[in-house]
Amino acid sequence: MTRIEKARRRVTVARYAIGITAAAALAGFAAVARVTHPGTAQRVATARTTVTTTSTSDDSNSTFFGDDSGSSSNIGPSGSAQAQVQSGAS
Amino acid sequence: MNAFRAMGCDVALPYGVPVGLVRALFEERDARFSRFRPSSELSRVNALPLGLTLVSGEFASMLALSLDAARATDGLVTPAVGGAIVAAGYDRDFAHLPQDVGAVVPAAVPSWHSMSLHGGGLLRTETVQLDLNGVVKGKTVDDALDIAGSGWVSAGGDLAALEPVVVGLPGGGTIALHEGGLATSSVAKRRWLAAGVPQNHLIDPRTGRPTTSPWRDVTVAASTCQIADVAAKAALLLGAGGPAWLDERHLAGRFVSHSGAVTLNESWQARAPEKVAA
Repeated sequence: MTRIEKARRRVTVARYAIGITAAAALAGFAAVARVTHPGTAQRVATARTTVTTTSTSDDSNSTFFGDDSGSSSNIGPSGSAQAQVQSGAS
Repeated sequence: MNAFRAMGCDVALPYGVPVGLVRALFEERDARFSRFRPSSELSRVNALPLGLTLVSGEFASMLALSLDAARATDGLVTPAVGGAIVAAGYDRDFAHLPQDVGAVVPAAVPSWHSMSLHGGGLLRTETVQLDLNGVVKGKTVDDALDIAGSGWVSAGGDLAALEPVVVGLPGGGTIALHEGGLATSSVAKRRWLAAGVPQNHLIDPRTGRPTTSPWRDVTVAASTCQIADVAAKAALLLGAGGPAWLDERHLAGRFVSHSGAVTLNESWQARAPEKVAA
């Protein structure tokens, strides 16, 4: 192995080591940032929370309204009863 | 009836429910999602409106819900209106807004497709200022009812109920809400002027300007307050097409025009007919 080949090999190894170190540092930084993020640290468990990964690619399969077909039956005439609360108040 | 002020509106619930826990929930959500608190997580996310941002689980969950709402309404109810509402002059707590904010320049609303969530990472491929008001209040009312465990919860008249409650409607009249959600979207309040031109808080993402819908108030009944709230906003923005749009989704809607005329869609009329002035 010539000196030039040895030098090239050392450069290759050094590049490889730098790449691994940089990737590890980035992963470590991301983990620390995630853990110390104020929004994460201050989280208060006050209600059911589900973290969802959202894809923006499919517009046709929205289930937001679901099958709300039965929900219209949740209202009815109030007769002469007085309102307990006002909708659209503020 | 218990009552307190949160999220810029009156929150009411009957006696006998754990009002302290409900109040803590509203205050926690307000602290996290307020546009007007520099310390809120929303403000921190909006401070860096492009690229990858790490967010809390609670924030990711609410934003995911908001993106679902955008998908379900073809982008009408979108979290991407934050820049446009500020451009319209609504840049501080409404109580501190001057009657006339002076001249404004409308801002285009970015597509909600430019945002995606990857666990705790929010990726924005173009500059997007977020406003999660489209879902936060309705979802918080539903979650508050979970905590209450009985009765009903109202925030600014957006309701979730586990037992019957008689609700006053915009423009007069009442309805019995047996169970589920009822919400009203309205441009009658939170109005201001920009160089003499009337503005309101409901931005039409198709124009980037406050809506010019023929409807002043739209009330929707649904299985949850969150669904009712999103549907009411979309139906108001759709204008003349609002009643049919709700019927296609089997949602009951009641529309009040700026002159006070009431229109019921077929789903509402079938459940709670009322005499409507011609």
